[in-house]
Amino acid sequence: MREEIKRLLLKADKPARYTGGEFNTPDIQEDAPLQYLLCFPDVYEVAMSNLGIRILYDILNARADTSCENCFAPWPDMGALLEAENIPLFSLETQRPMSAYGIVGFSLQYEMCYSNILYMLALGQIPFRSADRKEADPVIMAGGPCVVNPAPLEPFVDLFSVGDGEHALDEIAAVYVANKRAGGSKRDFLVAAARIEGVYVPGISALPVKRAVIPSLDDAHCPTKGKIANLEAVHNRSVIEIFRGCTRGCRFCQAGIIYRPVRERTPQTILRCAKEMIDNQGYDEISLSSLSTCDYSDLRGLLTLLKPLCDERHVAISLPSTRVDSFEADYVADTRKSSITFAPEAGTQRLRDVINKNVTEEDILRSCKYAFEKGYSSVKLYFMLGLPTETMDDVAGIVDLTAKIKKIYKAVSTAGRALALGVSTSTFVPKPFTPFQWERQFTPEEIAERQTFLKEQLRAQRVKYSYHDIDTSQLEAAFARGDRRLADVLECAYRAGCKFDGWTELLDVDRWRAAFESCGVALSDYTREFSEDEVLPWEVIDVGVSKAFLLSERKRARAGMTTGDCRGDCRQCGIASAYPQAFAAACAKTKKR
Amino acid sequence: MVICKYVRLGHAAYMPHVDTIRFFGMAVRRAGINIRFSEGFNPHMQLFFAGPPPVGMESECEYMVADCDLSAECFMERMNATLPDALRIVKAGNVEKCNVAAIANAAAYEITLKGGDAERAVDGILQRRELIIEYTVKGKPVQKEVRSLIYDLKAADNKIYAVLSYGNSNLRAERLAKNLLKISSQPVYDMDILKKMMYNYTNAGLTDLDSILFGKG
Repeated sequence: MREEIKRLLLKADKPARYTGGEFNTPDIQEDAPLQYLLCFPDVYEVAMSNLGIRILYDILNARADTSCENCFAPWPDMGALLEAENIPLFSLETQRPMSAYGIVGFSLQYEMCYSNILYMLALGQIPFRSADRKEADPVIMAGGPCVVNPAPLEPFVDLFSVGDGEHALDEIAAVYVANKRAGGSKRDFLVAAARIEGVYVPGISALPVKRAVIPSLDDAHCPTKGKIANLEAVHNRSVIEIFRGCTRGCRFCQAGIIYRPVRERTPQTILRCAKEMIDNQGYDEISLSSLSTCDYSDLRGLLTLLKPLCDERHVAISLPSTRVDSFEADYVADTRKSSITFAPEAGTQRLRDVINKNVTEEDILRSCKYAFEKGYSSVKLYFMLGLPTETMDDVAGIVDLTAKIKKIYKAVSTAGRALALGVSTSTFVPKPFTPFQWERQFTPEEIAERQTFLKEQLRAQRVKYSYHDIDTSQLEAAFARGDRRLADVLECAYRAGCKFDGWTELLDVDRWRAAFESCGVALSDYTREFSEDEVLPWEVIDVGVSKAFLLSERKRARAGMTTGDCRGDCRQCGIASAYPQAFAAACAKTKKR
Repeated sequence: MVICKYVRLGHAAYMPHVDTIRFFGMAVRRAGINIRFSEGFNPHMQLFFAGPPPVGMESECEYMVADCDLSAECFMERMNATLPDALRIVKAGNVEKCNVAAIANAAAYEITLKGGDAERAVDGILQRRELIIEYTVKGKPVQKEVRSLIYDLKAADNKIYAVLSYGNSNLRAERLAKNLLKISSQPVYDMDILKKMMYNYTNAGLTDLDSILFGKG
């Protein structure tokens, strides 16, 4: 450990965030031609829980010509110490400064982390804007779901990797090393990299840039020897991605579009990964992760295969977002689980049809009944406020639903204690490449009216109510659908002290408002309804789902018409022609459930 | 039961104790060791640890007890195959039952000063009848008489070697060292602290914990 860093550790909260030395850290070849710094612009405990960067970390380190290290956003206390001592932000593994790397890549999972990119670059003592960086400065790269709209970050980022990173990053590394060996310049590298599928180099790439899609997940790298966090991470468990993509087609959901088509791992591959993870990591829980785990085509077969191994090694299997009335839930239910969660998203069937969330009230009530009979005594419900066409009747539907759940509990509960019922609401954020990408975001006044209504009504029912503040959602909407003008706003906000905006206690809305004002940019420009005729900032990217499909889904939403699951019943979203290979390997084979 | 002595060095010194405990549990699972689980609502591995060492202090003498039927040698070998150097088991023995906390009441520390004069810091301290140190607890200043908690104190190569009371009437090495610097009119330099050895202290003197737990040799 570097002495000057060691001296800072005990002055910072949770110093184990900064020491490195995590179990399973690979050997770092400091003389490899490509030194890659893979950054996550949030705090250690969040970053260490992210699956995407684990995959890419392994892929890069598997290359003989590349070494990859991690760097995460230091909590503000440590950030201030580094600044005061003039110690540049450093990697976890070798503690070398950010400027020592050839490529510095950021994984962007949510818009509210954007200011932390600038925060990390500033601590790394690297100029923010591509135009201000010199030949010797690292190439700054960004990937992750957010970069389907790269516009607000274009001035800061040299190269975007859009879509699946597995092949793209491998090729980027190869091109970087070849260019370096040939004595090429940074620009030579960017020109060559722009030819890689999924790579967008502002000013160089031919437009639109097509998202990278790996044809098969079963052959893709599954990180089974990931680093173990030095202190409790947000997710303290092994994670296996059992499939990528989703076939449900919820109209507000960006992930449901930009990860198409669905690609599954086979049960045999998942079993092998699980065994390796238990041997290499030793967590007491394995999570079978995906956007909608109960849609895995043979979940029963998979669980039958995994269960003996997991029982023998005392490992619990967790299935995020599973229906509780399923055979599968019985399989994983253990004594620790006393709470069930539903995300009906909207309070009435009418609005659920509009958003294409194909869950009925009957489904929810049946699941609750089943769970209560089994002894569950806690239910959490998630809704969105401000969905397109929403009226106060839809909001009142949330209250009706909680009343019905309470009634069922009274009738069938076996738990012998009071029902703990919680409702949580977030605010709808229109996202690029969804059928709702043109929709407006409701005004803070409209959202406040709904929140106040729920607060009063639910309190009367003794239902716990929590909600996300509208400020975060407004900023999220702005950056999700933002254009290049937001780059100035972002820089201005960072310079005024904004960072960790995803952390409610650290978000400083007044500073953000001031930044918008001083740049002469109106936040309302981004929360308004977009016209179907206008050129959208994110049309430099083509995710493979056609605009015609999104428009027809929007029309169906307005008409209250649902669109069924696309497994075995193609809805012509455009993937078939955009990615024929992946489509043939995945969609064409998926069975109707 | 297997009792183990392990080290806690380098980055591991900054890991919170609760995460160190979790980490050993994961190592047990990686090693495929069949350990007993507690009964009841939320079964967990029967691994027992002595009290939490302060964050940032390295140690060559932490103790842990595992409820399993393996021989001590086998347990140590299989665990060390999956433990990092920073948290390695250095001794192990089979016992019927064991409560380290009940017998460990003194510890030896090596304090490496990053500046100043260690000999000056310890000079005359053992000859005193009383030594009052000052420190803060949750922002509040505290004064404490600690002379009777110091069993040995010397300096060499700009290191302070101290044997201090441990456990119920604990004297933290860092607190003492900072006060010794202040008392000898020196700036409070940075320091590295390494816990070297644990003891059982009685009127008869100090007995090395290892000889009690693992026997001679």
